[in-house]
Formats: sequence, structure tokens, C-alpha cells
Amino acid sequence: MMGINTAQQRTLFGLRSRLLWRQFTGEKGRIISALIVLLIFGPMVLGISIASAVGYIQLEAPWPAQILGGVLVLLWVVWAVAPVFLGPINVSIDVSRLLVYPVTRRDMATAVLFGTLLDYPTFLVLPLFAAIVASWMWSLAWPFVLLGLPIAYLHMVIIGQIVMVGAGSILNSRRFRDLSIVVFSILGASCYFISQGVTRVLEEFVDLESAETFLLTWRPLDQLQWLPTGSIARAIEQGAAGNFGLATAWLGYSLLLLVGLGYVWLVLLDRLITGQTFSFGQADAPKAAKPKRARRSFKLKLLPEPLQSIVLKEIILTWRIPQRRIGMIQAFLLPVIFSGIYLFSGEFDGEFNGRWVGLFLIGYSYIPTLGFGSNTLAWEGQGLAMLFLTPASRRLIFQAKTVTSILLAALPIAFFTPLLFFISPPLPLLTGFFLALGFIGVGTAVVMLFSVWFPYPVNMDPKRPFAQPERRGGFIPTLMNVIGTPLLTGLLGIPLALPIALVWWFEWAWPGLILAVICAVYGLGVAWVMCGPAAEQLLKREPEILDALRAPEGD
Amino acid sequence: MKPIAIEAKGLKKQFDKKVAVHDLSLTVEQGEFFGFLGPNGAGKSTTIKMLVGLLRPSAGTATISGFDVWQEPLKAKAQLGVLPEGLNLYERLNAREFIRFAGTMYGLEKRDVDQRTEELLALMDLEDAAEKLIVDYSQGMRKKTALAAAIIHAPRVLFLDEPFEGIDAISVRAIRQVLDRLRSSGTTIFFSSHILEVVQRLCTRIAVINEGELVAAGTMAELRQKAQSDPDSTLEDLFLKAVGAEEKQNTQIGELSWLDGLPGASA
Repeated sequence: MMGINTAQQRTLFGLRSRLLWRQFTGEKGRIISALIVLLIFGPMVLGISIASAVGYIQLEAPWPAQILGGVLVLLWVVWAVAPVFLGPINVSIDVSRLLVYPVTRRDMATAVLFGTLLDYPTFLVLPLFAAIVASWMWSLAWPFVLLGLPIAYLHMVIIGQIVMVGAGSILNSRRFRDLSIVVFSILGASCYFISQGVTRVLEEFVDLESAETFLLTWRPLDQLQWLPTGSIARAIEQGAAGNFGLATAWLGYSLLLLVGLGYVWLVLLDRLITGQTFSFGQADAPKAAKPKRARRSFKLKLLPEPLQSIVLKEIILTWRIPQRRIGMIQAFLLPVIFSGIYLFSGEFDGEFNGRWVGLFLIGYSYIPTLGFGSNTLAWEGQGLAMLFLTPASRRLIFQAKTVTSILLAALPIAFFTPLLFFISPPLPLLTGFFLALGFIGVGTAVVMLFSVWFPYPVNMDPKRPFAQPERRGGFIPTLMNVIGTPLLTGLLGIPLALPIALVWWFEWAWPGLILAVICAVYGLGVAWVMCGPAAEQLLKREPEILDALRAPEGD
Repeated sequence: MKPIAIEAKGLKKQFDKKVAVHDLSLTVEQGEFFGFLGPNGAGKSTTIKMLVGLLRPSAGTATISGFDVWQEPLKAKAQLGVLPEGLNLYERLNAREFIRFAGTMYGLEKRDVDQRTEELLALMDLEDAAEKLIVDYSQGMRKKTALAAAIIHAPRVLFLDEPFEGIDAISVRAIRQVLDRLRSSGTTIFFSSHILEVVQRLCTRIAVINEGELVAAGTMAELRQKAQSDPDSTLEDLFLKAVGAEEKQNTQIGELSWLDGLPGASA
């Protein structure tokens, strides 16, 4: 090719092949992750491919072309949006790493385009493209299929690159990553609720007959045809109908967009090469920092120093680590979501026995207890070694972690209990509240102890928030955390069964409530006492814990 | 004789079949500025981790100011300040919060913690960035933060692993002055660095480790004498000789003849 340095291209393609191969020959965990991705997305993509192929062949006009447009535009949108929330789809070659070498922007662009042929997402797109080829190649549209699909693929890669290079500084910013982790997780958790809500709204306010008429007359390709890959679907449709002039015009339109977008990409690459960063709007001027005094709530001040300082640090870190902040937000959202599911599921017949709400509180309290207390040492991240280097009493460290975990787990319970007085009789609800506190105490005691005995690495990487940690915890820690924790919590929680039986079985509300208060003291006491053995174990096992939680070297 | 600040006896660390540190024994007296050198992968960081209690040795003992690191870990750690290789920072705290936290964990009074934190932030030129999260810091800022946290309690023994790497000249000077002051007040400094000029200038005694074994130790004069080098030889000369790299490197450099005839360059 004229102007292309073929030796460099060969080297870069070879590098990409080696990187792909090493994903399979390196760490076992990565092979498993790749297999999981293929097992989850493979059947999904295959299913869509087969369904779309059936649609192309079986349905009457204009639906095959509408489906084709939908598939091609959807792929293009996924490639454009995914880098914003999930990171780059085509990781083929990080162009910023090539900036130190004498590689022209044309060579860089070519290397990226060829490199994408060795990316997972490309493999996943193949069945969809195969379905298009298999269905449309036998029509008069075959030349437009042969030309159009490579153009569609180039459109996908280029739009992903434009987003990545153009908005790289924003996408890579820590704040943006943190925000996307939280937003995505909350959306994920609320999915059922949202879909049920939308269904209810549609059922209530949308006339089904007119909706059906609308859907039958809807021609999305009329709008999608103006998008880069939508026009390819229109070209194929027109080609199949024998309108070669129109088909060529639509393909030419797509090609024109490709040239335009390709130019934009090259300009952005140029800016990257010459060090002009691209950002939306003007960059913020650096602000002079004002020294702030640490804000401490009145309630935290009740704690003695240095317990107060450590609890404050624990709370700050829980909020600032996005993976943990999700837990804090979900602790408040989940009861609302559970209630929503119950109310929308059709099981709710308008009558509600509020006596059982207290029991729900007890059961629910286990979720934030696990969320805030489990594997607590791993969440120290890099700071764990610093913590182990200090001479601070290990008992004090666990007391602080226990207090924080109990406070955070009790917060949603304390928030919802007053609201629940509207739907529940007070005595069973109060009993539930105190037993929830007791259960949080017992649960916290167990997870604190297990965090020393069976720690496992966690992913704290803001750039790969949904990835598995590079190292796994091993079979025994996983088993003990999944099975051992609830078993031991159940055993220690046996005394809590007595007030439950009294209130909800024998309906002796007052004795049950008094016993529940005693159980709350018991649970919190167990948590406090357990700090001793946990601290003792910690002091004995610090190097081993660090080793179990350390990131793999040389990666 | 001065009291012993750091003592390692027969320290050994084996990872599977690889022996990273083999039978290492050394003694550092109170108030010494002790340089600990070695090529990459020689076992420096492994040794430091064993001395400060972050890595359990396969054999041998380590004591800090007379406290066995593994028998009385909290007493030993109370004497220590450590700037480790990996820095070990709480990335989601800001510098002020982190240094304060470190001070609290070393048992300082709240008033002292607050005062020393502000002084250290000023010294390290971190005041303007003190409210930014550490995760957003440059490497140099992270190192200065870690160093501030390591010295906030005025430790009796300070371990520094590559303290000047990635730090600007102004901060290097400030840190050197702090280290001088710490040493004059009796703090023992165990200093590991690849910048040999700095080691030669600052350290009173130097040890060289290679392939897990201690191959040389002493003052500059003693090292010159042992290596039978001339009195003007630098630490770099002595170091290369001690690890056996001098001759090998000279041969290898000689082979790079293609470096001589650069186009357009006059001889």
C-alpha cells in the first residue's frame, strides 16, 4: 500500500497477535474470564444472529430491511457508547503508547484497524455478519453486502476510536469512572423495578390497540438510514429490489460519512500526537485548595480518640471507594426495590399484614452487614501494608471496623423503621428493630473474624470496575465465606430465635420486645468481644494476609 | 559502642525454589545513615520487608532497637518509620487525611497530629494539593505524602526505599535537610537507592547485596580498602566491582560499535 510502512504494520500486527495469544497462555484466571465472556455473550450473539437470519428470510418486506438496519445501527451505537461506560471495545493497540516512536498517524490508524481483527468483540460480531451474508448474498444485493459489511465494520471501529481519542481525558478521569460505576450498578439493581414500572405505566396510560397499529406501521429505517450503518442497510435493501442506482447512492453516502469520520479521527489522532489534548469546553482552572478541618459529626465525637479517627477514616473510605459506595446507596434502595417488586408482582391484593414487617427487618439486616463487614481487610487496598507497619493496637483496629460496619448496616434499618410505623403495629416492629441490631452485631462478629482467616482479593481498579480481581481467593476462602459465614452467624444467632418465637408465634409482644432488647445487647456484645480473637489472629497472620491480598507482580 | 538499632541474623527468604535472600546478617548502630545497595532483583526490598515485619523470613531473626520484629511486633513497629517500595497509600484519602491518620496510628496526641501534619504538608510543598485524593497525585507527590506519614512520629529507625525517585530538586533538598536533622537527633536511617552519588554523600556506612547475599559492607574507606581500589574511586566503581558487573559491562559496551558511527556526527 502506498505510504504505509509495511514492516511497522507487520510488527504491530505481530504484537497484537502475541498479546492475544498470551491471554490464553498466561494466567489461568484470564482464560476463565475469556471463556465466561464467550459463554455468556456467545450464545446471546448466536441467538440474535439466528433470530435475525430467520427474520431476513421468513418475514415479508419491509421487515427484513428494517431488522437489518436495526442490527447494523445497534452495533454502531454499542461501539460508540461502550467506551464511555465500560471502557474501550477495541483495545487492539493503545495509540498513546506508540507516540514515542516515529510512527505516522496513517500507520497508527492502519495498525488499529488491522489490530481490531484480533479483538474479542470482533469475534462476537462475526455471527451477526455471517447471518447477513447467509441471508442476503443470494439476492441481487450481493455486491452491496460484500462492500457494505466492511464499510459498516470500519464505521464501528472508527466511531469507537473517535470517542476514545476525542474524549479520552474525560473517559479516563477518575471522577467519571467513579460516577459510571455507581450509576451502572444502581441502574442494574433497579432494572426489575424500572421495567415493572414502565410496564405498569404502559398498561395504565397507553392504548394497546393504537400502540399495535403504530408498531405495525413503524418504519425505523426511515430515520436510521441517515446514520452511517443505517444507510448500508438501505443500500442492501435497494440492491435486493434491483434499484442499483439508489443502492449505489446510499452506499456512496455511507462511504462519504466514513471518509468524513475517518478524517475527524485522524485530526484527533494528530492532536494526540502533537500533545494538544481534546476536551469538551474549557479546562477547569486549578483551584487553590482551602485547608479544611476534618468534619466530624456530633455522634462520632462521642467515641474516644483514636477510635474516632479510625472510624472516620473507615467511613470516608467506604464512601469514596465507588465499589463500596454502591453498597451504601443500595442499602437504602433495596428495600424500596423489594417493596416495588412485591407491589407490582400481582401478589399484593391490597391487604397487608404489617405484623411481619419486623421479621423483614431482621432478614434484611444481613445484607448490609455482609456488604460493609465482609473481607474488610481487603478493602484497605494498598493502605493495608501501611496499617500493618503501625504499632496501633490490632484490637483497636477491629473495634473501629466493627463500630463502622455496625453503624453503616444499622443506618438503613434506623431510617426505615420510623417509616414502617405507618404500616406495622409498633411492638412487633420495635422487636424486629432490636433483633436486627442484634443480628447485625452477630453477623459483624463473624465477618470480622473471617476477614482475618479467609481474606480474598477484591477489585478496586476504577478503570476496570466490573472485572474480576487479578488474583482469586482460592477454594477454601470462597467456600468459607459463602457457606461458613451464614452457618456461624446462624449458630451465634440462635438466642435471637426466642423473641422471634414469642412475638410472631405465641404473640407475647411485651416479653418478646424485652428479650429483643437483651438480644441486641448480646449481638453487639458478641461483635465487641470478637474483636479480641480477630486482633490476635491478625497479629499472627499479617504477612500471610498481605500475601493473600497482594496484586500479581509483573503485570 | 553505640546501641544497636537494626540487627539481622541469618535472614533467609525462599520463594518456592528461588532463594531471594540467603543467610543475611548485618548490624546498624543507632544514629547511623546506612546505605543498602544492590542491582535490580538482588533482594533489597525483600530484606527490608523482612526487617520491618511485612514478610515472614524462612529463617533467621530481625530486631529493631532490641525488639524482635516477630516476637514483639508492635513494640518493634513503634520504633519504625517506613517508606516502602510500593508506597502503600490509602488512595482514596487526601494527603492531609492520610498523614493525620498515620499520626493517630502511631499514637500521637491529636494536637500534635494536627500541628505536625500542617508542618509536613508545608515542607513537602503539598499544601495546595492537600485536599485532592491521593489517587489523583503524581508519583512525586505520592512519595512525599508517604514520606511525611513515615516521619510524623519522629521514628527512632527510618527505612527508606528509593526516597528520591520521581521527586523534584526542590523537594529533594527539603527531604535531605529533614533526613540530616533526623540523623543529628539520633534517628537511624536505613537507606536504599540506586542514585549512588546521593548514597555516597549521605551515608556513613554502606552494604551491598547481590543475588541475595551480602557481598560488601563498611564505610567508604573500608570498602575501598577491601576492594583494593584507589582512594579516589567512587561508590559507583566500588559497587560495580562488588557485584561483578564492571568487567562484564565493559566487554558488552565494547561490542556496541554501531553506536560510534552515527550519521552526520563528527568523531
